[in-house]
Amino acid sequence: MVTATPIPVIRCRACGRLGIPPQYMCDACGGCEIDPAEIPGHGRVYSHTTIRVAPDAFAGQIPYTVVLVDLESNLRITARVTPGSEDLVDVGRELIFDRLDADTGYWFRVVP
Amino acid sequence: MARSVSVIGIGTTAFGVLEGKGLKALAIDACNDALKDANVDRSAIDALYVGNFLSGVLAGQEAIAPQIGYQLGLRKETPCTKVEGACCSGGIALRHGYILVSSGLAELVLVVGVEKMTHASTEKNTEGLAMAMDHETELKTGVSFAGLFALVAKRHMYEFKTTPEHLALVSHKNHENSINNPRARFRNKVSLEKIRDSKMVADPLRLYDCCPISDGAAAVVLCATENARTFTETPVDIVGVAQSTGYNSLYRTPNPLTFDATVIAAKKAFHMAGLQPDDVDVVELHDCFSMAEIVDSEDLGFFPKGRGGFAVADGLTRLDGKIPINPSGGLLSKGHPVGATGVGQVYEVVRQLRGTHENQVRNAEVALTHNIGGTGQVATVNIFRRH
Repeated sequence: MVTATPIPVIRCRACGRLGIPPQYMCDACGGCEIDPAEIPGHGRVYSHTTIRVAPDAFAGQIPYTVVLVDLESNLRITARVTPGSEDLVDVGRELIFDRLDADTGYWFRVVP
Repeated sequence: MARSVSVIGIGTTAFGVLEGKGLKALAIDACNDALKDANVDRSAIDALYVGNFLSGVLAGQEAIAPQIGYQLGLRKETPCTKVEGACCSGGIALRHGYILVSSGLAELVLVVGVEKMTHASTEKNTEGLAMAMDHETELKTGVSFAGLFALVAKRHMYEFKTTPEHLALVSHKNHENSINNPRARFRNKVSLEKIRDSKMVADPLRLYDCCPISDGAAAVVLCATENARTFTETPVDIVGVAQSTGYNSLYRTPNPLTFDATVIAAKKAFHMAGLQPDDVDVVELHDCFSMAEIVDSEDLGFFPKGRGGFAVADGLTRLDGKIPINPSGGLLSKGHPVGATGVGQVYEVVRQLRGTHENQVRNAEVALTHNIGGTGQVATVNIFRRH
């Protein structure tokens, strides 16, 4: 297995539920103490698309691939695929976590 | 004691590219049309609800409800309130009007939905519409709404063998339906080939799988059912109103092939009406994308999950089918002036239940309208019955 950077997530201090940040309270138990946490940096493509007409701020980047990725711990995230391997993206394809960018969110790469 | 509520007047502008008409002008045209249809003087209106999404971003005008109320010359005692829930805004506005009349706090309520979009660029509209996403997460990725419904489509195809042809057939049906609708944006015949070969927007969704940016407004006048006959010979009763809350993003939706908000709103509205999906004669549902019509038709209970695309291919949703869906042309071909859409659907089904629609469904007695905001953050289902 390719070594991957862990994915930053959040965990409710009261019930331990994991989530995608930001969350201001736990939707499961109502707890308001939310801590940073990590999960393994592996995922699988739940679904994918290539954006060819983009919102204004992204118009210079078309075409680009957006994926819904199934992660460990029953989490899922909408994310971008790092350019170079988009052609290999398909439902069920294994991905590894690339980075979390403050402006553009989570990025993944296709496992070759 | 809750009172029953009826629609006693309907009004609308055309939906489309309405050059030279601004947001307020459109709303006022629709309101005056509805007041005339209801034989009600503006001075008798006890409250105004405005369904609108992007008046500030696209038209540069906030406080839109009192702006419209003032220009209409409503009484100074009359509260004028905007409600917003992205593409669901119109459906929500209707429900608020219903509640006010039902409670007895108002006798006559005017509900208008309006949006002005076509003066702005496609990119500006795409950016504005995308503001209905969670801006701290999903919006950041650059996914468009077409992209989100493309993600739904790709997975629906993977799990249920839905095909791009099914999507094209939804669009084709709705374009065929709107040929007869004088209020529709698109009235020309569009071939299946043209739909299949249109430009890819977000794979597998092509241009004709996406609803067109449009201008428009629609309005209705509501009163208590017990008084409806004093205004009109053809009142239409609102027998079910429901609004629900889903998830704030597609990735947080447990099963992205089912919009729970629609399922829940439908269940509540059917329960309130004492009806079930089999009782519905005509439907106007939220086909912002061809894929959405397929998912909505399943979530509302008209077809089992996964069979919506096949139902379209079998002709079940055509005008002469088992359950006619979007005889108006729907969002795909009548157009989607976002805030106007939900009220525009009510306009269409009231004509159906009055027996005066250009695409009349024979003996239509029960109709359903449905909106979904974002990717299922909010949904409304409203059910209507011939008086």
